Amino acid sequence: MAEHYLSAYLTATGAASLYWPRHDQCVALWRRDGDEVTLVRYWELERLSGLKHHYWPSFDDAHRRRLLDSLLSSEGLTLADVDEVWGLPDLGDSSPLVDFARENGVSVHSVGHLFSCLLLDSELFAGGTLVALAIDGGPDFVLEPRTPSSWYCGAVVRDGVLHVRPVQSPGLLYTAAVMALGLEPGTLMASTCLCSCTGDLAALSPAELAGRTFFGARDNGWQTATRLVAAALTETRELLAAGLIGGCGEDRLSPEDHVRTVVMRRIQEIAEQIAVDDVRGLLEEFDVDPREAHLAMSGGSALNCPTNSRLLREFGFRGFQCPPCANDGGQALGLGLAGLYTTGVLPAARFRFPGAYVGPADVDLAAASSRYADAIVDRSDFDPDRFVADLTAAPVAWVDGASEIGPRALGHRSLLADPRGIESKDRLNAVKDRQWWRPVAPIVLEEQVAAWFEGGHRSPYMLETFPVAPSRRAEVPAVVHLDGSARPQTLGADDDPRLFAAVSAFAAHTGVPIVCNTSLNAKGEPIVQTASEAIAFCLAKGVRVAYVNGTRLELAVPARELPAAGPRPRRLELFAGQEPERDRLWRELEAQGIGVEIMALVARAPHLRVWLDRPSVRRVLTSIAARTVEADPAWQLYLTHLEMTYGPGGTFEGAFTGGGSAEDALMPLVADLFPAGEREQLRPRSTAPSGRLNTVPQR
Amino acid sequence: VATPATENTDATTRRLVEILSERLEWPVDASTGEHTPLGEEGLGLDSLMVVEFALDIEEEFGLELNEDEMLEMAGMTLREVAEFVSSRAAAAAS
Repeated sequence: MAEHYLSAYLTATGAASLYWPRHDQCVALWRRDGDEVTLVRYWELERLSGLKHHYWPSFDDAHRRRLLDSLLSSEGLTLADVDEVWGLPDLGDSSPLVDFARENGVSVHSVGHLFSCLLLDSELFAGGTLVALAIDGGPDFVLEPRTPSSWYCGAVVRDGVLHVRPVQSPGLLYTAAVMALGLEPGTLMASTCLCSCTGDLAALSPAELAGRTFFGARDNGWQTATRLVAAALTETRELLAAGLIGGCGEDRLSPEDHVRTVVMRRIQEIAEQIAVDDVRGLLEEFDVDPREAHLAMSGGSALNCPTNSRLLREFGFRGFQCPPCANDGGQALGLGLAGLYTTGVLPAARFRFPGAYVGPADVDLAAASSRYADAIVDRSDFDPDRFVADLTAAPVAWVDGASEIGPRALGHRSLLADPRGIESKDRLNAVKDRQWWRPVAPIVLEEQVAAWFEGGHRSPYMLETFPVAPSRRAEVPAVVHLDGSARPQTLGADDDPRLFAAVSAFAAHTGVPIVCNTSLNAKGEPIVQTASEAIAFCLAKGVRVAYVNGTRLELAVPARELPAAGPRPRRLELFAGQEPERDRLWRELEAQGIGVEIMALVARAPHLRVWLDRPSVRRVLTSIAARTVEADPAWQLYLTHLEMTYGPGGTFEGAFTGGGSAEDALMPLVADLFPAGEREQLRPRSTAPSGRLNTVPQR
Repeated sequence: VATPATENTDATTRRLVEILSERLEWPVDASTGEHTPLGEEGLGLDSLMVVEFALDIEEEFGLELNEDEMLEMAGMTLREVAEFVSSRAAAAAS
């Protein structure tokens, strides 16, 4: 008889829901039939809630059970059918994977990321050699019995024997830049090549970096990162004021764009070097020949395609393994695989990651047809030739079956466009309210990737970058980034037959086996899930044609009011209405003398929770909190975010408008350091942030 | 010349290093010793970790520290913490 397991990256319930945050919450359902394990379904809650980087908790156990039952109902199951739950401190038994993390001296969070890249193919795990990095900005602390001293890990597995080691992460520098500049990591990554301005930054010179490390708590890597980034920004702004940068001739950029380019180019160099050093250390310690090994990467830093490509190129690994959900949205995948490994199920049983299309399949075209009957003026079956005509005329929306997991649209919830004119890129960036220089990624037929991209090879999840072949660049200007590179998704017939037929028809007609692909969502909202959400997006943005599960819908602006574009709640019934319980918990803590400033600190130091009944401990934490706010303005923003989101008066619906900005919702990872001599201003704010993002960046 | 008091402090320092390693799971090595500061240029404990360390010390040595003592510890070396712990333990015994 089959067994079912759940892995859940959700918050703890009760008071802990207020002080142990998790963002990018997600749930995975697993099934075991004898010696076969399958990943049945994967839910990223942001797709259901509409709240980007979904961080809204279930405040009590009953609500969380209802939420899980509701998810499971699409598979004909309830929580009572589930044999084990991993990932939560107060449901199921996560002790095997917590013990595994402690035995190896690394965070549980990093173990989650590690297994999400290490065990995607049990046969490769059992019989091959893998070198893995699990690197990101920093851990959540929900399953940690004590504050872990090493936040990230690397691993080598050879013939099923696994060795785990703490490693350094480039993610701290990126997260410090996110908080200083108020932009998401992907935007910063794209900022490394906007112009030719260069600056030899003393603040980030090899001499300045010598001896500095980024292991996490044990070396205060977060403080190192924030200080370095702040100093680099100050120095670069001085270069700008002195006229030493900003005069490269790229007049479409703002002064701040030039500053950001200079700083991010150097940070990217350092980030790559940290990953290179990590890999070299593992190869040397375990005497691994990379030509015989696969590289496995996960954690938010694994979404940094230039780093992945550099590691593959420089070491000559024979293959690459990385889940499409490398960020925290992949924690449920990794926690599940870690649970299956630490309880002895894998790799004895067989498992192979089924690909990205394991998200919810609830498209519900019937509901959309009825809701938007007045806007759908024509309906027909998918026809490849018609698709070509549509695409050459304007961008089209493409929705098909189960959604892709991970932050990048992979052709099941995509906005597609003709890559042959730069105006497609401009149009897509306008639709997405993005800066003009943001790159648009291509989907390319796998059999042609090498002809169009230098060193191009299969890359189904858009996790590597290749130079576009110079002789081809003029043919596909819309997908060539300013540095001549692109981040393609390769597409084979087996990956998705219908999309393959569509792109093949475009190739046959134009000679170009490539289409532009960007995610189907407005600025600040998660990728759409249902047909209704897709049509609302199309109507709001003037997209005339949508393909939904193989049906072509031609849309016209209806007589009634246009749907609003942008972040808004989706399935309120799953998340809203918990406020009375939340207020009760909040007031209970306050009555015990535990205010928001203590909650924020306990988020980072889980062990202290058990001591909060002692007045002296509460007083010392209050004192630390006061100093921390004084030393680090990000703390005040974070406290305000906590109060607005979780404090009395805040609502789930309000989180869409009043939740604060990206950097506000990101938990600062450092308290003040002693001795208290110098209290420098750690984080000067950007003078020109690109607008307030109502999101939490991936860590 | 080793006196009973300095021997006692040496033993306490060694015990503190063990607590760091075993309970706080903090990386220590051969260079970690009496002159190692808890904070910057030393173990690199931030103030929250110092509070965790102080609570471990309380349990281990049967003391209760007030908030000022916890905060003061942050600026000490391991030897200074050991002397502080020893004096508190002696005061409690007398």
